[in-house]
Amino acid sequence: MLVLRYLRTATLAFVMAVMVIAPGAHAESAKDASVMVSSLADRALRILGNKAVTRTKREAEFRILFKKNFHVRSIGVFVLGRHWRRATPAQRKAYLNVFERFIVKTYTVRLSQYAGEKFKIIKSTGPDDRGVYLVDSAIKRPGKSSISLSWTIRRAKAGLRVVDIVIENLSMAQTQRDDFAGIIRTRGSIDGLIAALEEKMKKLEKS
Amino acid sequence: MLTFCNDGRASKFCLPEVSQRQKAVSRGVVELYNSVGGLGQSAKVLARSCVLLVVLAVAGACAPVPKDPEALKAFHEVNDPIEPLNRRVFRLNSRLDKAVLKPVAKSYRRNIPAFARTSIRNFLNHIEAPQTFVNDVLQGESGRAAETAMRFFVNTVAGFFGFFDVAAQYGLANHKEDFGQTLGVWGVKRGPYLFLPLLGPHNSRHVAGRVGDTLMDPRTYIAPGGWEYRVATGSVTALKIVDSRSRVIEELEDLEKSSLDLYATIRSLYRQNRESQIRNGKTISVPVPALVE
Repeated sequence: MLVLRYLRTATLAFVMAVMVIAPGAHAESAKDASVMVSSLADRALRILGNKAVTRTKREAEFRILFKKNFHVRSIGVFVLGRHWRRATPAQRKAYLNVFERFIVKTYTVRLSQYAGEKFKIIKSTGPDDRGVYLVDSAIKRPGKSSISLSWTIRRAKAGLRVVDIVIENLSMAQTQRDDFAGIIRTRGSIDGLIAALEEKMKKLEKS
Repeated sequence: MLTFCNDGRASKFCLPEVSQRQKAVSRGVVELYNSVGGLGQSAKVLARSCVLLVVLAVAGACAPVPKDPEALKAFHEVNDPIEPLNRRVFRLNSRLDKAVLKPVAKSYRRNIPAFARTSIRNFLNHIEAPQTFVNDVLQGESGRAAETAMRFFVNTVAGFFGFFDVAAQYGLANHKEDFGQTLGVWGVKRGPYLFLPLLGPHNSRHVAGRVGDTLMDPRTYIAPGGWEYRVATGSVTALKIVDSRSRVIEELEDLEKSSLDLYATIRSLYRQNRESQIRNGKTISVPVPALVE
């Protein structure tokens, strides 16, 4: 009898412990994501706003930061969409190579607009049923309306990695996917896309 | 907390609650709209009416319909059956922009001081409030309708006929609604993409919405006919175009820099932005890149 009561108490204690700990653990990982975004955005905006060094140096620094915090391969595969499956290994390699340079550049261009502005985390949630963490943030600009930035994050083997940024409800990855689909359609093939990316990079590196 | 709407979907996909009567009315409108041939919902309908366009000597206006099922799915998703024609209009527009609109917008921003531009912006927003109000009501958004009415009253009285946005300082931020958005809330599909000369990116629902807004505007029927009135409305429209262009000078330049196919990029951004406007900025679940290690 005593044993039974003891067991019951133990079970109750266990259930209560789970109830207390589980949401805590949950909030912990969402917090990890927000800590990561906070430090990433802070450093990114500082690097891109640092006019004391040359642009080449700025971009090189940003590139290192970007590659460490974004899952470039996942983004590249998503952006190519259905064409990825049809690509040959050689095409995939050539594509991912130029895509990496291209995406660093596009993010440089996009985020440079906000360099030096105030950055604030609003809330972070996740992981949801897709394993996605969402960190909502805002960039406050004096005299202008603030910009909403939503960071989409997944847990890769190496840790939390950003897979998309949604600026004012516009997804960078989705937009790029549609952009690439457009050029594949007009140029007729993945090779056409790779060539277009190379041309674009040449132009961007020159300017 | 996850709740569910009437049809069982998770609440984040629900559209705002509307009353039964409103539902009946909107269903009627939706059916009417969907039955109007060329404006109909699917790409198929327009692809068919494209045959007509070809007859009208606009040869090469229609995009070829792909056979591969995946490509076909993407084709319907993009829903741009008259892409070649749209692209031509887009190129023409870009040239016009480069030659006229962009330089004008730049000089507007350079020569008019910021406070004056803000006041002009406030005024342009102010005179759109009645349209927003009507559409707030039609969408069943009573709270937002009240906000719009309040803003209009406060800014007319305390804001010197709308030149100062006093209401915003009291936490009543400006928002815009048009009949195209209302149609979206009512469940009308977006329809084929159309790039219009001067007006830019649209879908057929947006075009129908513009017509609706004009029909609902009392000024369409009771406006004084004199030349003074026409000059006034003409300059307001021109100002609106220049003002909105002056706000996206850098953004568009960045877009040109960072995209391969500017036409496809703008089409994508337009679609995403329009959907977000219809949901009043509430986020919808967008496809997220899967992990590829």
